[in-house]
Amino acid sequence: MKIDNKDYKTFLIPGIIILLILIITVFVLKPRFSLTVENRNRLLADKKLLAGLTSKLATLEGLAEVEFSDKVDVVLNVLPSEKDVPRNLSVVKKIALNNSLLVSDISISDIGEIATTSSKQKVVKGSVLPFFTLDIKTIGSRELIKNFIKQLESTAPLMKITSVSISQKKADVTETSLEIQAFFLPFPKTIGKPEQQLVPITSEEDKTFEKINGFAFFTDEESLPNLPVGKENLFSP
Amino acid sequence: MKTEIDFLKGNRGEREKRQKLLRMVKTGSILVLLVYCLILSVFFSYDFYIKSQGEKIAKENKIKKEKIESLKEVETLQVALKQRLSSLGKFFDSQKGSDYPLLLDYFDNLTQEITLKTLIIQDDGKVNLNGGAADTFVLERFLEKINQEETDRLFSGVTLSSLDKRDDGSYFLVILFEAKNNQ
Repeated sequence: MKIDNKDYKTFLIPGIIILLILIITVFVLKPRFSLTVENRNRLLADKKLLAGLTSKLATLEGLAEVEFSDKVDVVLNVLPSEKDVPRNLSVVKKIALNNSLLVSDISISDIGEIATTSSKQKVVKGSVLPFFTLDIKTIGSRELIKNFIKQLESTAPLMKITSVSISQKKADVTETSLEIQAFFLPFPKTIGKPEQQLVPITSEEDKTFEKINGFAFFTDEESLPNLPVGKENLFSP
Repeated sequence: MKTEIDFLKGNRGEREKRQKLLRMVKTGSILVLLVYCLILSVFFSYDFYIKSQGEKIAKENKIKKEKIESLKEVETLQVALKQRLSSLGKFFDSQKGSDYPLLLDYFDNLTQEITLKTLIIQDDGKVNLNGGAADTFVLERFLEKINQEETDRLFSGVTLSSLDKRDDGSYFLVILFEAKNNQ
């Protein structure tokens, strides 16, 4: 079959078409395709993120701020965010007083750094929570000591007795030394990004809340009386 | 009768074939171009769809993030509550310390007849009792009391560490107890 010059002209259009297709594919379609794949992956990730955000938003909107605030107050009363030595001392003294026990000596140890750097507090091995130690000496009957221990371990802030040493100095005088661990827990440093999912409170944690909700609270904190001091207006006669 | 002789019959057939082939190539290439254009348009439509969807979802995400930011206080409360309840849960689970009131009840009952000098109860369940018995009978009754069922229920081990008889006939004793809860 002979093909003359005239026939080559006929191949010109298909040739141009193929060339055009190749050029468009290499220079336009190929880069665009990888970009589209990238966009598609991003879209899928964004859709996933949207689902997460929607769920988180629904959860947050469903939470009653007031109820949460009350719960946090209870929890913070039981487990303060910082070493609140005066409060712990005040509570120990109040419980002792309630039980007619005489506190003859109090000493504090493992206090470390206070307040501002408390978040750096290391948790002692074997203990779940950071703590400082109160050593107290009381004078009173063993029956009173039992009540004191029961009350102390169910009163906010969270404290735990680690050692009880009873010594009978005289027939009617019982001196008891108690080693008490007072616990605290600094706040988490960050609350995470908006896209970070909210971890729901489990039923176990609800039970824990019910348990600490039964703790006794001393609300009437001791405070210095607010008495007028000096003249209100120095220039008044 | 006039007869025509077609001298180009063979060439014509060949030319027709060639023309048909060329036509097919031409038509085919146009078809390929059309299909390619169709693919391109589908591809670009899809690309446009992805882009517009991406923008729409990014916008929605931004709005949701802003809403979440506005609820930061609730989130902070939730995170703080979760952290504390979780830690408290672990704390209560890890508590295997001595039941002081129970042990004190036991020792109250046990030491009714003897003179208690010191009683040390540790959180790990170790108990050290120092006391004195006025005479042999008191000591005997005291040791009998230790042999009661309640002792077995509360303690895994009871050791008489020392027993000294004094000149006045009284006894000074040191007993070590190991509470069961801490095993």
